[in-house]
Amino acid sequence: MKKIILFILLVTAGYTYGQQKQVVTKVFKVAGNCEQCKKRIENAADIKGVKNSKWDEEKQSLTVIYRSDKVTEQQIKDAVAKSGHDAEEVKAPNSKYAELPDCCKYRDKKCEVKK
Amino acid sequence: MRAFTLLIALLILPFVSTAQKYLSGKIFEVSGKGDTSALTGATLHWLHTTLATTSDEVGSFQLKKTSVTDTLVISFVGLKSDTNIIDSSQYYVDFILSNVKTLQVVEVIYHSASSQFSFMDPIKTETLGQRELAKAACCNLSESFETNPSVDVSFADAVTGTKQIQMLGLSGQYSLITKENMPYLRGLATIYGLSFIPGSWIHSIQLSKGAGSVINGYESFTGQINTELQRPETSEKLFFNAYVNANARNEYNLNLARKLNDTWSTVLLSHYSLNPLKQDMNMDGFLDIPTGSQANFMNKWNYQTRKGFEGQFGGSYLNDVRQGGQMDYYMQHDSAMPHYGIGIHSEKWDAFAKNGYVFKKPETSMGLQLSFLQHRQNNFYGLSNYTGFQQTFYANYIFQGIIGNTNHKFKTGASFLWDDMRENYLLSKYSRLESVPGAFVEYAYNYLTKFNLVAGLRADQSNYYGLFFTPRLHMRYAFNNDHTVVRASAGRALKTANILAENSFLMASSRSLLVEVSDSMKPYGLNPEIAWNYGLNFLHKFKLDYRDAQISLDVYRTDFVNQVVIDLDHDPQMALIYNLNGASFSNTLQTEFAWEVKKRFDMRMAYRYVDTRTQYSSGLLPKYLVSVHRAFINLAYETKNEHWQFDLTTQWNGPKRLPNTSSNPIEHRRDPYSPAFFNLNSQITWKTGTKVLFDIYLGVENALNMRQSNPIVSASDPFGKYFDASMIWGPIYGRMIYGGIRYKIK
Repeated sequence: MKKIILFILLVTAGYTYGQQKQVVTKVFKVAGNCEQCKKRIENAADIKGVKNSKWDEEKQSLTVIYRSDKVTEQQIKDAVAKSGHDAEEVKAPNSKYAELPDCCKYRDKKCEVKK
Repeated sequence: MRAFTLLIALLILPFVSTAQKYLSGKIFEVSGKGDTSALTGATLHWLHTTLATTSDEVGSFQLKKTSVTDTLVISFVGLKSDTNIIDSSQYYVDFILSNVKTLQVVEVIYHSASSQFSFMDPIKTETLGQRELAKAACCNLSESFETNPSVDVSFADAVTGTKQIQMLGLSGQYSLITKENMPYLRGLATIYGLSFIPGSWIHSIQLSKGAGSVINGYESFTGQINTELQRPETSEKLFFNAYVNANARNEYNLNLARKLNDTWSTVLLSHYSLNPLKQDMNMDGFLDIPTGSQANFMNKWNYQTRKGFEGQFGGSYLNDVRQGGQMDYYMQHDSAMPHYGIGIHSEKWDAFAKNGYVFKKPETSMGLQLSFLQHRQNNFYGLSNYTGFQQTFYANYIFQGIIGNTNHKFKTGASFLWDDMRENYLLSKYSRLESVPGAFVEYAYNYLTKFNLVAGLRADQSNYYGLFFTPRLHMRYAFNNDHTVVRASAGRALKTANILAENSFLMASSRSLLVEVSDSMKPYGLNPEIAWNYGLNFLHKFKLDYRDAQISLDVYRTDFVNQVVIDLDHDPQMALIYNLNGASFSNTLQTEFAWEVKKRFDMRMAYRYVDTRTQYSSGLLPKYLVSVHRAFINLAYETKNEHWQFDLTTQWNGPKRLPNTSSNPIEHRRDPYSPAFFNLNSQITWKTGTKVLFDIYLGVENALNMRQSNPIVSASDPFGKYFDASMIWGPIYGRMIYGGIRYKIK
């Protein structure tokens, strides 16, 4: 029994030790229109390993803070694109774009109503 | 005379001096770790001009604006230069340069707009927006504060279903409660008024603790609560809400908004609620909540022209009827009066207009606010009758401008407040005609985002109290890259105590109201209430696990020069009302911690300590029905697909002192202190739709089913000597489940 506990302890210790917490901040272009888009984009980027995400309407860019040992920039971009918003080189599929509400169709028009 | 010269000088100055238009701000750099620091030596220039500057050692810059272009180029060695369009109304802007070679404008502060940013405003202001207001679905302004630690909401008495608020340890009448910055809940409406503004009419609430601005008058002792109603230009085309609770209380709200053309827009707000069922959960023979109904309408029109004129006008009407008392009471008065009944009828209408003109000169504008309201109150409590009639007229003219540059701003103007109050209680008649013309000056100084100062002074001439001055001062200092803010405030306030309207809950008792008249020429024969308020607060923003967190500490003291003391301790069969003779103060300390625990999961924790003491005839005692200690936690979570929303609020209320009842027979005595209790409210909302939005919500109030047992003293003998329904320290009804829908067309 004792041996088993020791074994578990060693394994978990080794695991946590080997896992360097690599938190990185990246900024990339994400297209969108309004407050509603902001919420959708930030929520889409909020996948496992992402600590925080902030989308800036003016600069059309998303700042993500994430653990590089758990998730990659590519995975985040894919997740954002899946929500209908172009994430730099990863374009949103047309089917997902079509599902966006009218005011969020950034490829066709800019939002008319500014808050 | 000197003050007058200064006023004239202030009025003329902005017209004489040449307008210097500057854009200022700060430049920050984001390091790889995500920390921000000031960036020195970044170059800013207007496109195709020679107007340029560089940021200094703390990252600050100031650059003269030009009419040639609105495109600003910001560059720094090694980083990609970027361009930004600067709106002509913009005078302050922060830029963040990140090492990934993108430049982002993170914060754009329009100094011309009335500040919504608590972090920037020298007066600490908390804005409760739509999201916050949706946390408590029921029913009106008083309940809007149930998810807020700064304002306490509690029942005023056991029989009228009225909720009242407390701020900084003092009851609601010491807060200036305004509707769109104009007086609404004054005088007769002090107690019931909070239920006169339906929750779904509210666009946002601005809550500022401590001395307020002189512009809104002299009556704010502990703070200002301003309610902004739905705006024609931003609200949904159609909003419908229906609500029902387990007690069969039902409520309907219908708001319609329409934009007629570029200039005109209008909004119609309507509300109807009905409480049809008599219910007595605590089996004391009395209705827990009165039955009754409320009908409430408001129509508002907005206009905005390209020439600088803008404004709004409108009116509202309210009719509120409540019937309470004993279960067996019937509305037909029979001569024997075998049962105790309560009837409260309020009828109120108002008309208002706000007009403004914006000059071409930056930050220069003027405005005129006008409002007129009439309120009729008709109440009976057993055999006692109380009627009231109030007419109030209010006018306020404000001119604002800059002195030299936008670092020095001022507001000045004049106001007129006119109150016609007539009341009858039992056999006594009270009437007063109070007219108060006044003038004010307020100067604001800004040094970048670091230091702000607002100093105001108003002089008012009351036909009862003569000339009096109201000074107010606010300061704000930010350091640590603007992450930490310290604010200080001080100010004086004055008001007439409306002894009957503010204490009408005492009429639901056998206490006789006894006023010790000091000067029969003044309203009710009493002096005005005067107090100084001092405040200090500290706010620090930081990142915890890469998400936003915030801690704050507030310390406030309200020190009465004169107060109209309501002494319930002297004799349990009496309410003695007299001018303060000695000390009366309220010290409060509140600390708060807010954190975004996970994306879309917010937590807010607060603790408050209140020491409120008044010199009563029996000594300097803690004010009754105030919890010395109070703790609060609010948790809010929204799912990733935005369909589900969960809210949970728990409050712990410490013991409250109860009025002395030791001379009553033993069965009619109450403990000197109430027990501490928990209160838990929760709500779940399901939302769907994009263009047509549909919400369903289900919630529970008082989930722990905590109830004050035996709330009414001598409930079995309501016409007897010991009857008292005003000793309320906790919830009257138990667990209450409710549900509702919202339907919106954008």
